[in-house]
Amino acid sequence: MIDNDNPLLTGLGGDLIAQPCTIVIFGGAGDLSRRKLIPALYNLALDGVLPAQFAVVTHGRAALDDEALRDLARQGIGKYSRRPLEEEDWEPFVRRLYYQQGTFDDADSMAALKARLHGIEAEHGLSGSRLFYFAVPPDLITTCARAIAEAGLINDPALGDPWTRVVIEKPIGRDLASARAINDELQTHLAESQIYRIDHYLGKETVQNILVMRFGNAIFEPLWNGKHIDHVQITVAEAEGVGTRAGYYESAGALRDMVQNHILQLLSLVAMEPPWSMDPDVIRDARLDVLRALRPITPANMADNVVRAQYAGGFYQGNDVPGYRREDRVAADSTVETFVALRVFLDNWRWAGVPFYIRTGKAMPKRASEIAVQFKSVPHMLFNTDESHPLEPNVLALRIQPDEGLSLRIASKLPGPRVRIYPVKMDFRYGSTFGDQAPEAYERLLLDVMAGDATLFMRRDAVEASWAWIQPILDAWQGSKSRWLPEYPAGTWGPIEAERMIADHGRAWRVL
Amino acid sequence: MQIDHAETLLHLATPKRVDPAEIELELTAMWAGLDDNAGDGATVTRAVMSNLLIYAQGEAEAAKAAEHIPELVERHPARVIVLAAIDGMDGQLDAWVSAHCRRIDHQAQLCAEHIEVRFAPTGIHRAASLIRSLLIGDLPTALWWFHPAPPTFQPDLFDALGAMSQQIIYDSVGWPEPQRAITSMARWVTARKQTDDTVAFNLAWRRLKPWRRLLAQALAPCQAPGALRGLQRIDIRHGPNRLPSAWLLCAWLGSRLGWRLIDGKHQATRLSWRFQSTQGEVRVSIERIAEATSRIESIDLRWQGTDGPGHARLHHAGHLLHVDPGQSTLPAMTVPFRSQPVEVLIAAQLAHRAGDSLFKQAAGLAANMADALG
Repeated sequence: MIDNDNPLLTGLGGDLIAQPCTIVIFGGAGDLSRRKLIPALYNLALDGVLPAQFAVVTHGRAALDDEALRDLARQGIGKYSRRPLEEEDWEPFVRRLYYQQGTFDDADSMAALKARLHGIEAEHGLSGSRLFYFAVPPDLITTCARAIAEAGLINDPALGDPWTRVVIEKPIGRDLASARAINDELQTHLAESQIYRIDHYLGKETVQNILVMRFGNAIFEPLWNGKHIDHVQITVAEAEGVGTRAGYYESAGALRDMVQNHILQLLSLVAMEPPWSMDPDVIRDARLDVLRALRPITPANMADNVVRAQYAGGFYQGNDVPGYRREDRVAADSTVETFVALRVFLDNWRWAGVPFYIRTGKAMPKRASEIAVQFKSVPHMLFNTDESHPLEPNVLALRIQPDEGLSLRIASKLPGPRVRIYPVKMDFRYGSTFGDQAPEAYERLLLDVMAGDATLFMRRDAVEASWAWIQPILDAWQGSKSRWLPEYPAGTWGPIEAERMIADHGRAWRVL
Repeated sequence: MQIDHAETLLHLATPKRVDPAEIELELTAMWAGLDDNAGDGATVTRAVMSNLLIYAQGEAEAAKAAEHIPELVERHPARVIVLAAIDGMDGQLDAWVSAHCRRIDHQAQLCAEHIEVRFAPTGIHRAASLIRSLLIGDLPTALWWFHPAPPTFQPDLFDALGAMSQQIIYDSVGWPEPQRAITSMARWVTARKQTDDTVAFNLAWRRLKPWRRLLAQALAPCQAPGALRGLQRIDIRHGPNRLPSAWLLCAWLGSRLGWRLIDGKHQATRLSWRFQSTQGEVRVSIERIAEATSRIESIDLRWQGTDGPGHARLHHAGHLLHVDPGQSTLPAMTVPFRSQPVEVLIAAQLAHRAGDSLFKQAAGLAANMADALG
């Protein structure tokens, strides 16, 4: 639907006008669906931004019916929705919620799904536009795609409406070769324009605000380069250990789980060149350029630039935390990293010589994600000439979660007759400034898919570029004979090796 | 010493009468006292995104406006200045200060300031001088015209307060003399140039969004081919006080679909107009139903589409807006309809500071429709 066809649509919903469709969630009775997707759809319905015609069909192996699914959905909304369930809102929403039992590797089952979809779409006056959400384990993505293709559920994008869009969760593969294989298989069934690779980090308000802060304010961009910036730190810290995700984590590790997707996406938003428009592909091209400019990690420079580690036993907020190798479903001799720190360079004009320090880990002192841009020191010291106490440089910190916001550390004179300098923090907090609850990342992203806006989704070339950069590290680790990784006590900010990596260059990790 | 937060909240919410010249001093002292007493790691944050002036007429109306402030500043923290014009007051100004706080985590509070200034309507310039000194610099200023009549009916007051504001928010629901009021306000809105600093918003326009959304979807070419261009008749029924809303909705349809106004007629509780569309004449009527709820009740649409004639009825069904397809190929459609409290609408409007050209176009046609009634 475009405005030329329907002038009444102009001005409704800004740039995002969700189109009538059926949302089909594979893995529909699972955790992601219950905790995130259905609550997100419910909140979108409350906001009145869903189209008048939509239906949600969840598909899964569990022996449920519509009513049982609706009960599960109700519980999920009650527990995880940012807004409470209200009966008068729930009633019209739940009437559009269906469950279809089946497996997607069975043709009869898929035929039954197809027939059910036709019935539901006829009931709701839907044209057959469908959003398939693959909320399934990563190894089933291609099976799902093949199943919907073989069932004749994918419409040719060249024909326009009704459309088919497919949302895929990360990780896309576990290395470059498997990512390519998955993308190849997906593209035998779907056009790239039909594939929405989701990274929920990109749906967070604070992540979207990076672009606004950089390109909506005149004061930052002139300083946003190697002439003025000393280094950038990106931290994604998780307080929990692997817990119930041990099975998955044993085959992934911190590098695959966090760096390859979330952190490299954050890095590309921080480091990208100004896009010339907000067109999805213009933005995605600019992000891709950053990934392509990453200086390769080689066996020769790996020791200086990469640290991996595992958490040992320790404490979190006064409670015992077992070491990683003692967690359930973790091999006693596992060499999977639960922490990784990297020193990264971008080989382009803007960032020449500026290190980006990245760290992410589990069992750290707190859950905190932050991008900190540390500016260079003043060129000539007029105050605090005591070299043992230099002036603290300016730091612009973008807090992604929790306590979303940004702060700027500046030097200020302490009141009194003498010139004494003290660093003060100018702080902006989303919660205290804007008050109202921000939408969840999945709300924004689902709306984007329904509106056909792929800006916040990863394109194939970006996924593969990030794997290509990661691959030498994975290869080196794979070839390593080491049976032990450096350790850090649970509840601390990482191993001493990571401290040394940054300290060798006269810098220090931020304490969050 | 740690303070009792509940007591503090209560204390701050109770207005304190102050000398108008010492409002800032009093607020500063209030914050300092709260900071000193917070203790134990607690913080008190003064949050402010804008200056919000609220104009009310009389003490009762000012008190009614003040009831909305706690919820409003929770969504849009602001320095709120309620301006109460009190008939019979002498030339002096009276002032009260208070604050509205809430917990945003275990300890921190978020507080917004609330100042009330009472003045004689004839003393607006004296009041305006005080307000100018109270506006926080570098922040947008909005004027919420709480009094239920068009601001343009009180030109001196409106000019003085509007001159300080980048955003004027009013509500046409319940306006007396709707025809004169719509004309008066629409003329003011349409006279704003694109480059003017001040933009105006009608809350009625925001309330119409679910209707606009549903009309856009019901008449979408993929649902009802040819219906948009082939509309022939629209009958809107509304409850008490909603004539201006229904009027604005018609004007929006007409302006979006490029209709040319032919004439209009006023008969008892029914207004009607004839328009010329690219495919013929469109007859529009608005009728008041005395016994109904104060809202737009239903919209009946008739058109000549590419598949033949069509008819659909859009109406309330509990908390929903529903499309009854009637004699058309439309599917039954439903969208949620939540009647939003006014403070939620105001907070949402404050976040949209750019002018709305669609509203302006609709207001322009609404004024012409008023003229056509004679």
